This record gives sequence, structure tokens and C-alpha cells, in this order.
Amino acid sequence: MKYLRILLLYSQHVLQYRTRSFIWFLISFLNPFILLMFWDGALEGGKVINGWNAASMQTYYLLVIVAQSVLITHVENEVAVEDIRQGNLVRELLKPIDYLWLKLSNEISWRFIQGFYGLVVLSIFLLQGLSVQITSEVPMIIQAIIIALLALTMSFMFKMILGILAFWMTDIYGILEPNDVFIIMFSGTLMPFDLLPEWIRNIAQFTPYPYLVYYPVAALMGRGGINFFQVMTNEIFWIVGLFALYRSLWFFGVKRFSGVGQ
Amino acid sequence: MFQKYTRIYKALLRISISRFFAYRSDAFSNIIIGSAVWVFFNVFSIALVTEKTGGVFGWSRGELLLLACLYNVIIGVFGFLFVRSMTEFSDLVNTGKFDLILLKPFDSQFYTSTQIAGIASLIRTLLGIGLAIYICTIFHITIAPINIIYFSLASILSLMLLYSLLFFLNTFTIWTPKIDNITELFYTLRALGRFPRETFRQISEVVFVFASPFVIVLSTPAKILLGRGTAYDVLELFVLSVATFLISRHFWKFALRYYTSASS
Repeated sequence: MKYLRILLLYSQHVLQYRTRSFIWFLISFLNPFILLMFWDGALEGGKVINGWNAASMQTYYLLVIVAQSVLITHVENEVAVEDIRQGNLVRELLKPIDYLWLKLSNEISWRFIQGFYGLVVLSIFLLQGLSVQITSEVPMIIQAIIIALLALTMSFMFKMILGILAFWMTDIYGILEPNDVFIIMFSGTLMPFDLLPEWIRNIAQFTPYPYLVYYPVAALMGRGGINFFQVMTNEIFWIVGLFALYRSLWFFGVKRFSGVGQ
Repeated sequence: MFQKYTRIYKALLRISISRFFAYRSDAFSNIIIGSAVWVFFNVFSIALVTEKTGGVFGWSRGELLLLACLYNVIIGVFGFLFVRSMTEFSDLVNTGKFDLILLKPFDSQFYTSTQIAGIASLIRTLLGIGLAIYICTIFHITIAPINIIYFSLASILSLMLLYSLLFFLNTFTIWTPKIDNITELFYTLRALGRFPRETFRQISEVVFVFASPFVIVLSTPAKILLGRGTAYDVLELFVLSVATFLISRHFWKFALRYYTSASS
């Protein structure tokens, strides 16, 4: 109950910053949108690459726009810079609420409004005559939703870990910037995972990245050749592993933390 | 007049250089690695996308990669000249330090645009040039030396256009100081330049007009470098740069009337 209350409080906060958050949405929207147009030109005239044609590519990037706005959390900067470096963590530590849940409630309200923008943009495109071909089988849709929820949890835990690395590092950007690049390249935001060169796929499949955007979108499109049961199991393993890692990092990290104020 | 500003600029540049070297370890570990990561990402992502598609819109794969390299060259110079100062601007307004600048006996636009030179950005230019030469060799793209000169001249116009656009957006800070992510949006729009202009032809006219300044910033100099530039391209870049510059200048003067100091 208290978490619901916190969630509502944070939602009010997020709604106050709706222009700001709309601009953040536009920023994340532009890249997949450019790539959509690029592939549109590249696959012109009925070309097919690895089973992707112009129509399925269009669907893919439109879903990526929604998926990345709902599923990719951006909690790391706040945790690392505002809470740990600038010392706001002192305030949060004193509250009788677990820090992880506090951040989760905040993040969910952000994902909610970003996802709303994503759906609005998607509907505008649909009205413009672009087509989105998702699977029509109900079990597949339910499967896709489960995969997406697990992906959201994974993304949140992963970003929390990146954030609390700030306990040990004075400047976290050396990690966050390359991480942003990896997300774009390996998560399927740049292009569908199965179109990446084999050597990159071999490396990336052992990282959390492809689970963040590619698998949820591929599941919703009902793409063949992917064992989605396997994907779900892997996601659960990742979540358990990341959670354990977070708890142990937090256990040691918070002891190193010192806040200074007046 | 001109001499006065060159003298001021030289002094500002000297300060920036000593500031850069005062934080050497920071500069090397973070900024340089950070810029290098983005340079390689810009080029590598185009390499990945074009691996399966090959040439698109009449640009060969090598030319598309070259475009991505040139993007870094121009962005590097832009970062060196203006970006650091512009980022400071919202801080100046928020803290009221901007009063001091308005009182100084030189142009406020000049100072707010050039106060700090981003020395570290030059690494992007250097890496970009290096990669461009590499791409030209492996894809056998020949470039006439005279075109390099024309390219540099066109790039000056492009820089002026980019500068005016960013300065125009930045001017809004005078009314609403908490608008810093508008400039983030600018940097994302700037990345449109990595793709050839033809990419954007399918979308509606409105979006195209909105996107085109960001796209021609790079497409036009790149076409000139490859010897494919037309008089129309050059004229378009010229008119757009000069017009945007004048608009941003007038908008600045207009906005200054609404500046209410935050200090004391």
C-alpha cells in the first residue's frame, strides 16, 4: 500500500515535468525513426534480407520506439549523480523504505508516461497509413507481455547496478557512455539482432542487452526461429543474478558512502 | 573592431588551454575516451547497417561510411568552437553571472558563444580525419585535392548554420532557464547528418523542412568533397546559413530585452 502511495506521488512529480519528459521521448524516438527511413530506402522494390522486408522492418522499428520508451529505464544517472555524488542518498537512507523499491516506483511512473507518448506516436503513424504487423495469436501476445515485463525488470536491475558503482568511482561517465553505445548496438535498437554480424551476436548473447528490446519486440511480432521459452528462462536467470549482485554491491557500497551537509 | 575580437579570442583560447591541461588526467581518461567511443560508434553503426544493404540512395557503402567520418570531423570543430560555452550559458543565467557579461564592453553574443574552447573535442576531428583517410583507402575513393579546399569552405557555412541553430535554441534559456534538454534534442537532431539527405525524402514535407538544415550541414560538404556538389546545393547552404545566422542574431537582441537578472 505504501508503495502505491509513493508511486502516485512520483506520478504527480513526473506529470509536472511533462514537456521535459516529452523532449526526452523525442530524443529516444529520433534514432529508430531515422533507421526506419533508411531501411525503407534500402529494402525498396521488394528486397528481402534474412526474412526482413520493408513492411516487417517498418513494424520492427515502430515497435522499437514503443519498447525502448517503456522498457529502457534511465535510473542510473539519478542514482549515481544526484543520490550518491551529490549526497541526496542521505535523505533516502533515513526513510523506512527500501531504496530499491523507492527507485522502482519512481521509474515506473516515468516509464508509464514515456510509454504513453510512445503509443501516441505509434497511433499517429498508423493513421498515416504505416502498418504494424503483430502476431494475432493470443498465447503469443501473453508470452510477449511476460517477456517484456521481465525485460523491464532486467533493465531496471542492470541500471541500478551501474548507478551504485558510483560508490567506488568518482566519475561514472566512463562507464555510462560506453554502456549507452552498447545498448544502441546490441539491444536491437540499431537493427534487428539477427542481422548483426555473427561475431557480435556471439558476444552479445552473453550480455543482458538483446533481452532489453530485441526479444520483446520479436516476440510481439511472432518471429520464427526463436525459442521464447528459452528467452524467458534466461531472463529469469539474469534477474536473479543481477538482483544478487545488486544486493551484495549495495551491502559493501553503502558502508563506503558518506554524505556531507549542513 | 576585428583586431579587438581576435585579441579577446586569443586570450580566451589561452585560458581554455591552460584549463584543459590543469585537469589533464580527467581530460585523458574521460573526455578523450568518451569522444573516441562516440566516433567509433558513429562510423561502426553505419558499417553494421550497410553490411547487409550495401549502397543506398545512390551512395555507395564506402561513401556512406565516409559521410559518417566527416560528421565527426565537423562536429569536432563545432564542439571545439562553441559547445562548451553554450552549455555554460544556462548556468550563467541561473546564477545571475550573466549580468557581468552584459556589462562588459564587448558583444554579449560573442562572449557567450566562445568563452570556453572545447579542446578535447578536437580529438573527434583528428580521429574523424584518420578514419576518413582509412575509409578512402580501403574503398578506393579518390578525392581531388581542390575538392578538399571547397569542402573546407562549405564546412565553414555548415558550422555557421549549426551554430546559429544551437544559439537560437539556447536563447530560450533567457525566458526558461530549466530547458537544458532542448539542447540535448539539438544534439540528437544533429545526428541526422550521418545519413544522406535522400533518406528523408519519403516523409511529409513539414518534417522534411524541419530536418533539412541538420541534414544539409553534412550532406552538402560531403557531396562537394566527392565532386558531386551542384551550384544549387552550395547556394542553398549559403542562403540558409546566412539567414539563420541573422535570425538568431535578431532573436538574441530581442530576448535580451526580457532578461531579468537572477542575482542580488
